[in-house]
Amino acid sequence: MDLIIQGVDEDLLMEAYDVIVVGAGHAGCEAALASARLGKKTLLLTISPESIAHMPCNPSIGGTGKGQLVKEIDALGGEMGVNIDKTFIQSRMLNSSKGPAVHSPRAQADKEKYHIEMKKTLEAEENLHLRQGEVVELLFDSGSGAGMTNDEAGTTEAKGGISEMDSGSGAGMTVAEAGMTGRKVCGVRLKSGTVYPGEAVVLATGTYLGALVHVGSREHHSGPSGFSPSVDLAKTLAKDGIGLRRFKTGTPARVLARSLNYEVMEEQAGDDQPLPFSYLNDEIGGNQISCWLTWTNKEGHQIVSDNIHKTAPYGGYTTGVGPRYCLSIEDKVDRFPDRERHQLFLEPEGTDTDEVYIQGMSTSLPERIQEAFYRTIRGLENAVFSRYAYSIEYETIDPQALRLSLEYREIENLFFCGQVNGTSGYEEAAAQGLMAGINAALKVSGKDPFVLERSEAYIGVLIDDLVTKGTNEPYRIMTSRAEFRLVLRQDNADIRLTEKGYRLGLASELRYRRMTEKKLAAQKEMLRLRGTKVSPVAANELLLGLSAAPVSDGVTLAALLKRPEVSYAGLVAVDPVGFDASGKPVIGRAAAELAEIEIKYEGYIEKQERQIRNFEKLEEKKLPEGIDYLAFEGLRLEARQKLDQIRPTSLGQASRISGVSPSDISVLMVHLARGNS
Amino acid sequence: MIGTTIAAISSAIGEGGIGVVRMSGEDSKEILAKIFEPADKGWIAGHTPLGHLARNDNDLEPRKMKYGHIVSSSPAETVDEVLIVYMKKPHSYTGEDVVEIQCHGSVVSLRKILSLCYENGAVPAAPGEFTKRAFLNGRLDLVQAGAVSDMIRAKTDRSYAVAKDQFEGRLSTAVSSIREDLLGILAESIARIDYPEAFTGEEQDSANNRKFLDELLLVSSRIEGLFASARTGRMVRDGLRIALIGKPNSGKSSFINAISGEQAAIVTAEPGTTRDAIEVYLSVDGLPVIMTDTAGIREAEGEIERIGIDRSLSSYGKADMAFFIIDGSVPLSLEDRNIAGLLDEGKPLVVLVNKSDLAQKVSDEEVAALLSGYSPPMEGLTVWAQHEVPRSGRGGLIGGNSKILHISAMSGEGLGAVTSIISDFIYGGKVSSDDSIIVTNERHKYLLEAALSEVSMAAAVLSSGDAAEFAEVNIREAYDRLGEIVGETVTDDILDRVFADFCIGK
Repeated sequence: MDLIIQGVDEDLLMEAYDVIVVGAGHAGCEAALASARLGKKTLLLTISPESIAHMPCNPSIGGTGKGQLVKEIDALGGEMGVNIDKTFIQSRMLNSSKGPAVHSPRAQADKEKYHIEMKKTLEAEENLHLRQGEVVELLFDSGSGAGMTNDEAGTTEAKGGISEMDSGSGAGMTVAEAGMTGRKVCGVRLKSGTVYPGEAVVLATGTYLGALVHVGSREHHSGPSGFSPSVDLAKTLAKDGIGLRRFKTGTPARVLARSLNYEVMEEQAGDDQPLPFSYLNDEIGGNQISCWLTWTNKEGHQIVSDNIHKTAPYGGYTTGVGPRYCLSIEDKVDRFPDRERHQLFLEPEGTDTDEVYIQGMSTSLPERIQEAFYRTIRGLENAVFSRYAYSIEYETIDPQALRLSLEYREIENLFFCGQVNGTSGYEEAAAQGLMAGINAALKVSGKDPFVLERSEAYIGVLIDDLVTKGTNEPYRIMTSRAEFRLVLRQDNADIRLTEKGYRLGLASELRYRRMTEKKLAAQKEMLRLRGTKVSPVAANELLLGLSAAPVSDGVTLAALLKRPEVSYAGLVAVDPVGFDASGKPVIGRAAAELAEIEIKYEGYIEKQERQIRNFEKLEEKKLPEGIDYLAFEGLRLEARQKLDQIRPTSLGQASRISGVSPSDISVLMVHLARGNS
Repeated sequence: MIGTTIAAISSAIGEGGIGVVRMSGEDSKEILAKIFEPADKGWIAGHTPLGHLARNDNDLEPRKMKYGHIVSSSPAETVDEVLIVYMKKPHSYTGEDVVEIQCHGSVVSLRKILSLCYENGAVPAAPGEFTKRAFLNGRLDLVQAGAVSDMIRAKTDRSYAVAKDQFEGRLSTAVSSIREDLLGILAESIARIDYPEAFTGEEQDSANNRKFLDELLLVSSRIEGLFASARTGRMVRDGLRIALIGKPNSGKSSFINAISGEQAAIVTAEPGTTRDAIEVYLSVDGLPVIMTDTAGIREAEGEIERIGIDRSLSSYGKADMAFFIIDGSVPLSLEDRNIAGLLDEGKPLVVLVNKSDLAQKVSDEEVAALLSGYSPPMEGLTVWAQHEVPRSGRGGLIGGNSKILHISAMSGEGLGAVTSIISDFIYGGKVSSDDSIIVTNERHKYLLEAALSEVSMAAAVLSSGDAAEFAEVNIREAYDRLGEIVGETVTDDILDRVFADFCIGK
């Protein structure tokens, strides 16, 4: 690749990359690794290498919906699952008392180790250069394949757009020069003036872009955890015509474990047998810590309500939009005045630190008042603080400006992923990072984008929601957002996705082999369970022991397994062949789990698969790129505008846009047919 | 959803000479077979229940018109005379098996046929769905594409206007309130699934499932209430059909004159008959009533008489209820007994012993004996059981489904009681809780039925011990179905409710 940006002082012009990833948080790490693993020469730029894969908020990975995302990232060949398996200190399967569709793994991470292990992986990756540097500007190309000088671009106001940044020269083009349409990104400029040409750029700026931290009535420019924010880039992006808006989130204080009285709290231990996130691992180590549960009280609530006007949102110091599912203590007290107490969890941040995270209690009260409030909590009376709570607001784009590939619709080869797209959470960020990295690499290779359907993965749900419906608050994945969640489970992400990852060249040979072996073993096991009969005597011994209704004839193992009271593990009494001497499934835990669920919930799964087939019919009807919706006869005005804005790729996607009615969809169908004939 | 068989009225809305009901999908032929009786099968009007069309392709030759009647089996009646045509896939508009039923253009007839299609397995077509299917099956190049999209648009605009109907406004309120209840269940179920930590130390899932179950049963009875009102809705919309039966000179005509009072009764002759049945449209307490004065039933002496009897039986078969008029001034005759022998047990009956102003030769006991062969049916019993016999007239109850009133068309005695009976019949039964809510639209009725079935499935899942998230799929479906009635299917409101009701935070 010979991407040369003309007009740049040669001392400032660095070597060119296929893909440049800006930001090394959870999204940026996955994006850079995916791109590099797909063979693209990749540069990963970060303001602070100490913040790589940093967890500025809760020290955990996974959770409802999020755990499924991590499993999917892993199944495709991403890194998050592998990294948390290396660094977890406690693991639990959430919702294990509920059905398998909503079982969600969650692990407490050792924050520091998580960061170090990810950094090591990045450093070891071939094709990937991890480098410190603050990007302040994107460079554009008018479409000729190389950057242009101002003379070539034929503009008179040569350096107007960039001179403010004092960034050196007129290399590349700003929007004012290139015009707003038909642009293509061709590199980035750093604060030092250094220019990196790149065919594709992935922006993963997280909560750093234009970041402002609030504590009480005070605010200051800062990224999370005191890291340096990215202020200049926010200004140039706005000038480039990229619409930005401010979102907000918050984080609670950290206290030292030695100052806490765990005696008066409820212990939350991990599962007896922690299960791995990564499909590459059969078993992982044990839990090293417990978390602790305690409650607020009226005294504390009084302090909060007396001082609520001193917080940024209630005092009117911020316009950032925060998430409703992540309420600060002031929101909780204000909105649920009848609640006498709110629960909080104390979560150790690692094994090499005494710092403990106060989950559930974010606030932007002044530090002194925070202290007074936290100390009213049982067990926290003598808490010693290491970091205070703050809220942070930052710039995000409107994800509706993206394609399903996460490419910015109006600027070719520019991708966005992670919190800058208006999401919240490490897992949501990593999932988008992986997809943006894959798609940037595919774009550079001239290949079609890789898009997952809503019916294939939570990742598909996440990205389709963002791009098609948009979001007015930081978006968190939830199992209830996935209409096909009985099929999109944490136990079968490998079956659903690893083949796709393997074909892309991302999932390794080993991963692919493990998946096919598991699939085959589960299929054989299902046949065996359906074909093996148990005598009524043996079956009833099992059933009566579980207070379940007895049978009068012999039954198959599969029929027994369908009873709500019977689990696969419970079959051990009637199925000597299926289990080894220690009582473990002969075919392995993962294959047994898959077989169990597929048999036990067969009816529900079949029903869902029928729904998926119907759903896919509309998804398969592709809408051509160049339709002029605004001039489209027959569509209602609102539909024209929405379709023009979002430019759906399929009729299915179009039908999910709010403001597009079934009759509009019919009109589009007619149009499609006319075009084909 | 592709895979289902859809049905809709395809002709223009409003009264026209003929109307068309169209079905598309794999089951269209089978559904037709259940409701269509071809004329060349020896079918005679008025005789029910009716045989079924043999399911044989030879019987339904594609693209050949066939003459016959649309019939319903319960109540057993002939709905309309029709021409049907079957188009075998892929040679049809949608590319699927399509059946078109051409009937008389009255709204009543079209709706009834459509409703029969739904009852036998078809689902309502969404706006533009025939075109959508045509497209999905690659058939759209056969049609004037532009014209079709214009038509779809026109139809949608019209349905917006229809939605302003006042009954639907009230229905909307009722459905919205049921949706609120479902939303509460959904929100809690979602909050419990997606934020399990927020429920630490609270009610366990199993106990909570029992709570859900109770709430679902409540929702289910509320939907049933609305569903039951669909019957009332039809009567309010189309009129209550009352067949007057009785021997000649029992006073049927004077009864009609008396009951219609000063209101200008429109009297029409049912066309095409030798011994005409008279249909009288009148308003009783503001409710539309269609009273059919049959020719009178007596021993058939000639062919003409035979037709008259068939006509009478036919209008009796079509009626919602019957008034059996007996001349109280003369002893019961063979003719009265013959009529009693023809009574259908499924049809609510009121015996009006007329001419109470004259000396009475018929006692209640004799009337009861006359009807002894007529055992009261189960269906419709509740309608009567809940209401006292109107005090304004002398009379008594026979069993549960029929009653005797003594009236005088001449003096007006007992006519107030008759009016009360009509009004009670229309508004009676399950609509009592809020009788201003009336389901008049077949599509709404279908959607209510679908929602009800989803709620029942959800309840079944919860009682079987499977986890709540499986039931949630059905609850959400019910919620969406009800949303289609009120025109809202956005799922974001569920999340709004989750965040509003549950204190969730990190």
